[in-house]
Amino acid sequence: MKKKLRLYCGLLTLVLVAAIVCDLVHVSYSNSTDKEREELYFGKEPDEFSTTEEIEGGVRRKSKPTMCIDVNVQARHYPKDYALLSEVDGQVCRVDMKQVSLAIPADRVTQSKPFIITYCSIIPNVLLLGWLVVIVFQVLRSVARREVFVARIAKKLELAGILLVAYWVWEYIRSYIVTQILVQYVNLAYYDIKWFTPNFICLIMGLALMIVSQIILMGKELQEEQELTI
Amino acid sequence: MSIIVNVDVMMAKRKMSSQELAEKIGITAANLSILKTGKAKAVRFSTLEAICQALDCQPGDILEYRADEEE
Repeated sequence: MKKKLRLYCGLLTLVLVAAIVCDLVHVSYSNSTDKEREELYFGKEPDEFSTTEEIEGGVRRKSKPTMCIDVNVQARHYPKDYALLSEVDGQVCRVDMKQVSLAIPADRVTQSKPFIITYCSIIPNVLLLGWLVVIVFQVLRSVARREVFVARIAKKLELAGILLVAYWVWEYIRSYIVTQILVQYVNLAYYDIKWFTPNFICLIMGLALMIVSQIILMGKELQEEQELTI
Repeated sequence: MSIIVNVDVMMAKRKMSSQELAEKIGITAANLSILKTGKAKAVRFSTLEAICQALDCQPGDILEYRADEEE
C-alpha cells in the first residue's frame, strides 16, 4: 500500500511540472487546403438559419436552433498590417480571438462530418462522468452510514481517481484528433486552428483522489489496530 | 504474531471461566476472546495489570515470546 502511495505522489509531482511546462507550449495548425480563403465579413444570415411564419400583418422570422463546435484559434498575420481593433478606456487595443464557436442549424448537423465526429467523440466523456457520479453517490451513502475507513470506500475513491485520469487522457486524445479533422474542414480567414492541451485540473484531481484512497487505507489500518488494542 | 498470550493456561490453573475473568478485568468477552486467540495488536498496561491481578500471576506467566519460523 505504501508503494502505491509513493507511486501516486510521484505521478502527481510529474503532472504538476508538466502542467507548468505545457502552459508555455502551444501547437498551431494552418488550413492546408488549396482553397482560397474567403474574407471574414459581416453579412446577412443565410435563410437556412431561420424559419418564416406568417402572422397577422406580415411574416415573422424565427431563428432555428443551432449546434456549435468550439474551435481554439490563433491569429495569423493580417494582410497590409491590418488588425481587429477596439477601444478600452480611450486607448486603442487589438482584439485577439482565442476561441470561436462555429454554428450551423441543428437539422444540418448530420450532413457535416466535423460536427458528427466532434459530437460522437464526446460520448465516452459522458459515460465516464456518469460512472463517476454513481461512484460519488455510493461514497456519500457509505459516509452517511458512518462507514468511512473501510477498504470498499478506498477502492471506490481509487476508481473515481482512475476515471478522472482516464477522462483527461481521452480528452487529450480527442482534442488532438478533432483539431486535425477541423483543420481539413474549417476554412477560417486570418486564423489558424490551435491545439491546447486540456486543462490539467482533472488529471491532478484524479491523482489526488488516488492518494486520498491510500490515506484512507492507512486510516483503516490504524483504526483496526486501535480496535484490536485490548 | 511473535508474542503469545497464554491466558488459557492461567485460567485453567485458577479454575476461572472467560466470562468471569472478563468481568473482573473490565473488558468484554469478545475482547478477551481476541486476546486469547492471538488476534490482538496491542495490550494496554492497565489491562495487563488487571489480568495479573485477577489471575494472581506475573506478566511473564501469560506472555511468551516465540521467534517466527521465517526469522
